[in-house]
Amino acid sequence: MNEQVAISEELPEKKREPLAPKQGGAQKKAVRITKKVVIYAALLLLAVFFLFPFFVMFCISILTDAEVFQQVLFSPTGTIELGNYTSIFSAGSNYMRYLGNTLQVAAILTVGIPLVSSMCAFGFSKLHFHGRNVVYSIVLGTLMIPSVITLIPLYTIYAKLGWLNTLLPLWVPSLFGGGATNIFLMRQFMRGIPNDLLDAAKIDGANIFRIYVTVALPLCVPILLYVGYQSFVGAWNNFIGPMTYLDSGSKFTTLALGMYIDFGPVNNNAYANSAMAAGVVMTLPCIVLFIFFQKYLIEGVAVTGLKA
Amino acid sequence: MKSKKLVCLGLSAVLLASVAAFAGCNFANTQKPGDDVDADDNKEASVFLTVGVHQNSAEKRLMQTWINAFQKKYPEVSITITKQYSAMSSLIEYKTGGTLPDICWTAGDQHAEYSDPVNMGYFRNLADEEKFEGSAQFYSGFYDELIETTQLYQGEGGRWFVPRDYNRLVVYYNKTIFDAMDIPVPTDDWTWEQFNETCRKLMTKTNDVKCNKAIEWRNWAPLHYTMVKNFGASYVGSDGRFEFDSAEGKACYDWYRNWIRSSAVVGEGGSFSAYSSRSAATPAAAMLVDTYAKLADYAARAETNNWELNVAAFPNFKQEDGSDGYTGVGCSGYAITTTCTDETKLEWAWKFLKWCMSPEGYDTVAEIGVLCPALKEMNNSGEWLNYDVGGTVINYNAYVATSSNDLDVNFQSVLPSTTDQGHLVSCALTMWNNAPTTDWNSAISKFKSTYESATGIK
Amino acid sequence: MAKIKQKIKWKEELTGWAFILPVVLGLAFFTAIPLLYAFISSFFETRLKEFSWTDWGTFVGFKNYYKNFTVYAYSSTFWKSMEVTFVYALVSIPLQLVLSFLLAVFLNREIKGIKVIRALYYLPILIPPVCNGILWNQITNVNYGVMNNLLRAIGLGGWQWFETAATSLPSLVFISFFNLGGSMILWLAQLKNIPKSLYESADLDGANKFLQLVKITVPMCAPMILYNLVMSIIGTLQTYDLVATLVNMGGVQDSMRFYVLNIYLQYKGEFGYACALSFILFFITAALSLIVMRFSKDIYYGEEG
Repeated sequence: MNEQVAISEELPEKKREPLAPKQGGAQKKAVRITKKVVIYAALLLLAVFFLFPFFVMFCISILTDAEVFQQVLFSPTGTIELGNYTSIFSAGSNYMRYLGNTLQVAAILTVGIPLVSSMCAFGFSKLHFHGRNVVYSIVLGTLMIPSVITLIPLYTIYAKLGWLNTLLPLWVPSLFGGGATNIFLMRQFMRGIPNDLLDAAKIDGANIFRIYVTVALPLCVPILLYVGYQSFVGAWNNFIGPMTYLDSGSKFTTLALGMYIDFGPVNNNAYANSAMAAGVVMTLPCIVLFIFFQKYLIEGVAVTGLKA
Repeated sequence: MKSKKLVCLGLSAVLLASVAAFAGCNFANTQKPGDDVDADDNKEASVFLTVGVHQNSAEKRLMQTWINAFQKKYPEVSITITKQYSAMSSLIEYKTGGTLPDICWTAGDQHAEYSDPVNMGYFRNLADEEKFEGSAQFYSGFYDELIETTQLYQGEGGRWFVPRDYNRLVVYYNKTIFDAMDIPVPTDDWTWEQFNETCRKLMTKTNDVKCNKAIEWRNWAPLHYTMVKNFGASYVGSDGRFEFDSAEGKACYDWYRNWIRSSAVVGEGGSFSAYSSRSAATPAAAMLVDTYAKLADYAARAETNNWELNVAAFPNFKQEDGSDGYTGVGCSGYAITTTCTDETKLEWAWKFLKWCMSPEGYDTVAEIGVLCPALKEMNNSGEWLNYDVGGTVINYNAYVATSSNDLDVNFQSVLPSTTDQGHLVSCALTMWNNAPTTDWNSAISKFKSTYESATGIK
Repeated sequence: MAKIKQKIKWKEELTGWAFILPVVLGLAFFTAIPLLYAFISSFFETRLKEFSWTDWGTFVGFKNYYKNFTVYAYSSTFWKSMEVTFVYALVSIPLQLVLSFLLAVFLNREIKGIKVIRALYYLPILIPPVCNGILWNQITNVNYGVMNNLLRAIGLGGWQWFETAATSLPSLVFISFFNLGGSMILWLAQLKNIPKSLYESADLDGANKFLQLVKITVPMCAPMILYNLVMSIIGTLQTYDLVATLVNMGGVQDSMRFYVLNIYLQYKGEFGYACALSFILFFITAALSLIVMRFSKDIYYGEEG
């Protein structure tokens, strides 16, 4: 090593040639640059493809009524019709009612589901009692059950209870356990909590519930946030539930059902621009939330079943 | 990190650029017209009735206008619209949940299953003179075909709902296109041959204009049945046996198939009403088959997009023996349900319906422009004729023309069982829906097998 | 001494059960009872009505099940819905898997802004299915939607989209391509687990990128492939939201009459029959899930025990 350095100090020009001929270096650099350009071009093209729905939704939402039928994306007269958006937020619009109902359900579920599912997962992972594994396998078994099979009989049960045309069927069942997927996720996460921590707290004399609240829950914050986010999005987008349990025109209609009634294929009078404006307004919160929760989302996905 | 900063800068640059671009545009803020007519509450009411209407802002406005006027006359009654539904099957849901309204809108050709006491039994028989005073006289004022429609099956004699509108098939046309191509406009007594000639002319390039298709055809049971009858065919015989596999049936089917592929586009009125100056050289469709109920919609579209709308009677498909052809007539109406048990409520519900379907009632809602009155006497009188479709003069005579015979479109009423009626209707509709792409043999065998297996009538 | 031990054990049992009480109650009331009710109802011919332990309707035995094979009126819709659902699942799922996998491989490089790009590609998933359906319903309208205009502007002709039976499912497959971002993220997480050393040694051995992909990447991800495949098929069997908002009542010639849509069209008039249909779906889903569990036990249960 030292000898080589000594040689290079004496003969600097000669050192370079055997290692990297000049011409070869330039060629390689050119290849590298074109490769990069090609990759970026491909990425850009794909980005255009994936952002296409948003772009179209936004463009059509600012067309005027007459232009909607001219099959254009950009207004030929250069008019930007804000009326589509203002009528969504104006006093008599249905949209605010839908939004209120949806937010009610979403708020309850976003707070409730992480808590309930973490409680049940704590029971399944850290506590020992007879039949624990049996019950857990049954819970996992419900993943196999398609939701439609319980939806319709539940309709008749709710009819008997008088829960139809209220928001109750949309959140009460979810609060009983929070769903098998969420319990599974939380349990996987909790298994990673070292038992020593819990034992230490037990020695200090705290009862189980306090241990759960003060030791286990704070450690689970990332997965709690993930589950909370998923619950919110689930409540926001839920269509089949409101469709089955709420009558159209009911005052408890949620966003998804409202969009369907006002702008869906059953309605022949729907104008594309109002439909798109409502769609944009409905999509924005999801995107904003995603940007905030991105970090936990990617982590949560990694936990979902790909644990090493 | 540096890359994050670059991305942020880039995004803000894009944002600023777009704002600058938009600065050159004019901003408009046209408020969409408010849908609803406000409900007046009768504070001292002692009788409370509930109504269910078809899911449509015009329908809601219509009923609310009637309610407001009626409540003004009779302050002891308070009527509320509690349900809106787009499909009759929602009534089953309401019944299950115990929320079926006292008065329900019903489509004329779909009421049988819901009325039949043996089947669902939601509606009351209004022919009962004891409960519903003056029923016979009230019904005698309607067009005969509409009265036929209110029965469960032919010859049964019951009146299971009150018909509301006389929906005769008519042909809407875009006068701007006709003028541009120098084609004579349709008249109320035009024949089927003249109609075919007009279609042919519309699809031939004249004055640089050529229609894509001549007419927008509705995929609609009443329309299908009108053509079936005009060709002299029938779906089933009086004993319920399948009969459509006859020479006349084949002729009708083959004609329809050819028609849909060459001269017509199937839709809900979208192609016809989407005409604008941009598509002036190749309009999607110059004519449309529909009924009075959609007049207001098309008039609004014509106004927005700057073309002239008018209407003519359905062409007269003269029969071989020289008699006039048939034009389907349907209706919708309101039924009083079995939820309404209280005698006082029944009395008031009946009174309400009788008032709505009277010259006074029809005049009250004439300005909404969605009803062609079901009363014979209002054939050529009443406020409905003064409906201002954005200033255009419409040929109202088309809706009540007598150039062809009226045809009761409830073909299924030949079957005594209402469940079987339902099967027949759905089978026929499926066949016509698939007609453009299915040949006669497979279509007829499917229709026959489905009908016979579902009803058991061989 | 033994008595105290028993007391402690009792307390543990009780607290354990107390913690899982919500899920147990939920299972009993919101899953087991409806399932039982649906199962029993499927043997009766009954219309939709209030829940009752006594009033069941007319008993018909297995008729609601074998009606799907014997009575033409029912078998035609049943087999059509099976055909539509399975064709869609078997065509679009493998396609989506392969494409999202390739996309993940392509995006699995550390260049500037790749994180933003990955997030951008994931964005279309965030559009609520209802909005997505309405959006595509409006723009693919043959008479006044923008899609055909745009296609003509690029140079491709107009396309029938949902107007004809033959083009409906392909259009649906196309629309589902916008959701590739979701599976892409899953694959990316998987790809991160593959040790870089494998690729480096392959480079030294002189293998080109394609060979590396086939010989290293795919085998390393193989266990997840089967799992993803079957789980996606199970999910697709239950498609409803998107299809209900895209086309009205099953589309032209029932070309979009998915299985769950079929159930929804039948349940008001024939409740018993709809229950039978949903049980058939349950059996199919259960069978597929068991296949998954048998073949990917190591993945699914991980460190179980």
